[in-house]
Amino acid sequence: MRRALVIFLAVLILPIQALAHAQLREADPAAGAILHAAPAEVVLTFNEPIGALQTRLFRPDGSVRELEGRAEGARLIVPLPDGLAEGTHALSWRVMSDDGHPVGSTHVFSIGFETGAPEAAPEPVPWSAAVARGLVTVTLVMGVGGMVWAVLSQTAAPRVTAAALWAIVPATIALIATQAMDMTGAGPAALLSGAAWAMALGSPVGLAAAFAVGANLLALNKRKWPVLLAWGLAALSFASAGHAARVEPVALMALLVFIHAMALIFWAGALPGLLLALRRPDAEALMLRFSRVALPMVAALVVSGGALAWRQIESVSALTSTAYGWIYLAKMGLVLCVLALAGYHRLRLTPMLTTDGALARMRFNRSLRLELGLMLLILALTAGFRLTPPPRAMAEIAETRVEVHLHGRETMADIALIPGRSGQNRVEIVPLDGDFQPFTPLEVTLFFSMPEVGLERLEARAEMPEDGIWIAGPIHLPQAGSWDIVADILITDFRKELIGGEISLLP
Amino acid sequence: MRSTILAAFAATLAAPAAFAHATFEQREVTQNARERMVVRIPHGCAGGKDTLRVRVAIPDGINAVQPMVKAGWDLSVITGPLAEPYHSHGAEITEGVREIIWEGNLPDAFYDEFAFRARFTEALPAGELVHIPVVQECADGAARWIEIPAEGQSSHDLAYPAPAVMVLPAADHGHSHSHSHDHSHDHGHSHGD
Repeated sequence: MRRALVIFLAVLILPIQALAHAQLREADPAAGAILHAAPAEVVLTFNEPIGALQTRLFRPDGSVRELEGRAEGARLIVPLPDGLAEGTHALSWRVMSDDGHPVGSTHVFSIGFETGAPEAAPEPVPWSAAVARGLVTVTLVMGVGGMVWAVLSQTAAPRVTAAALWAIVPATIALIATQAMDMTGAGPAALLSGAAWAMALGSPVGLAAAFAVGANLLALNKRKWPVLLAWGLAALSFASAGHAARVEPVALMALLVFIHAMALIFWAGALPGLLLALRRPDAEALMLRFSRVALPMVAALVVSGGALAWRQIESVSALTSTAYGWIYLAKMGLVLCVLALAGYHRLRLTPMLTTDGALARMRFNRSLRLELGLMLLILALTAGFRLTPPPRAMAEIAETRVEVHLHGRETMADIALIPGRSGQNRVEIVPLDGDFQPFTPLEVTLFFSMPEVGLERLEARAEMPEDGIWIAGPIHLPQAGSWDIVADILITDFRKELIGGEISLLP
Repeated sequence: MRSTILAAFAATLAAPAAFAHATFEQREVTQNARERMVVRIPHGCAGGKDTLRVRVAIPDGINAVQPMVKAGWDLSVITGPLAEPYHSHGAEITEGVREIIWEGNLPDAFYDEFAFRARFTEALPAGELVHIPVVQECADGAARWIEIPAEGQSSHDLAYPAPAVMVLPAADHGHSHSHSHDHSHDHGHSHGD
């Protein structure tokens, strides 16, 4: 009797295992694609014929629209409405498999750009961009600054100034190229794409490049007023891009960067001209003329620099706890050296030019070269800021995160969404064993869904780039509110656990 | 709440990647009987990748495992201590096969079967399914048929269920022989009711 029952149960339960469900094979546009223009439709291709059940579009502003999808054999075709906004769209779909079982998922694509990508998401260190930025800075400062001193002092510009001027355009092209690679994340392949160049030119860096080239053209003119205008354009170039100029209050910060750059261009750019001036009989008069302009410039440089740094770094502890802080400290060390040298030149060597000309010229020559070298190092360090987010930006990211603790029979996980708002989120997962001790699973995969609004599963596979913390995403979560989250934790090759919970996203 | 989410998650069908599963040809096994088991691999991993390795983990309660050699495939086993040692021909057996590994190449479009023989002991409760996890490894990733349904779920709710067979009660409660499960025992010695 019991045996018969068991056989009956076995027959009842087991055939189900042989069933097959539809599997998504291809999507157009591809998952995660960033498109230049809105597509007319989304086409999802499955491994078997399907029936259309439900399609919903979650738009970048969080609004939802029902769409009418139609099935054609193994394809689900979803015509999109006209006039889709730029940003990230999530198409939640649900289809009927051949075996009668519904399957669903969410397909994410973006038009123009991704909505709300976090600023400090881990990304490859943009070394080439920093080097290009450094080249533009050095050529612009030495080229335009050299010409400014030449017209103000009515002396001939040194050869190095002319060389720097000619190098501005190549350096600017390199800057745009690295920006194109950086923005698309496509590496050197981006350079073959006109759209990538256009995107880079349309960014703040493109504006900075335009000002730099404008300054270059005016400075080549070598007459007084065009060169002075070039000075302003070069400073505008610095003020139109970069961490420092792009933070609230933007107008004030950009003005501070402009003043900082004006002063810097004058001071650093004049140094090669001053070296040349040592060979002239009127060296002392030229040095005094330089000092008269340089003194207020140095004051402006220090005050504007201090204010800019305060806005970016915000706390004393960040000076030693962040890479940005260390670069700043190194830069300040060099600035103090340069200021000390400048004082030495003005107070000791300049008066000495009349009393002991030969010795003063020799010392001046050595000391000015040192100052020039230090100045170039300072410019290089400034370009190095490009490599690291300022503590201000890190704090903005760090202060918004939402966390949840998931609990299973064998495993647990602490999960954080950063910044924990609707849109792009980075996910950090710390897997724990049953005794709250961190352990290293073989694989961690996360699933997000929002059944109340009909938002189907989004999947994010996590990686472990550093010890103990698994990172997934950035993943686009199109709505604020309560999300169901399930972590699939592979403990050994043959054992895994699904643990679930809820996490609430801010708007 | 958590269980609701997991249940809802399972109900919405864990992964659209789940299609035809790895299964056993057999639907049932008998306690204390030596059974021939055949794992059926219907396709490659997600993305249409060829299968390069098939691994079967032997759960506690199954012993005397003998995998069948397969032309074109390298066969190996991993042995380890058994949860329940047993006697065979007077000797106590404490170690046994815990995992079987076939290595070869099975293109995505083709189907193949992998066989082994094993004894299902009374440690496996009659009237319940025994789940035998199978991992199918491909060049880039794996399909892990290792999910075991929780209380209130069936394999049906899972994306990658471990293949399972129903354990039938031993026909004869005494010593076991591989030929011992003929159906005439239904009348005489059945236990329970």
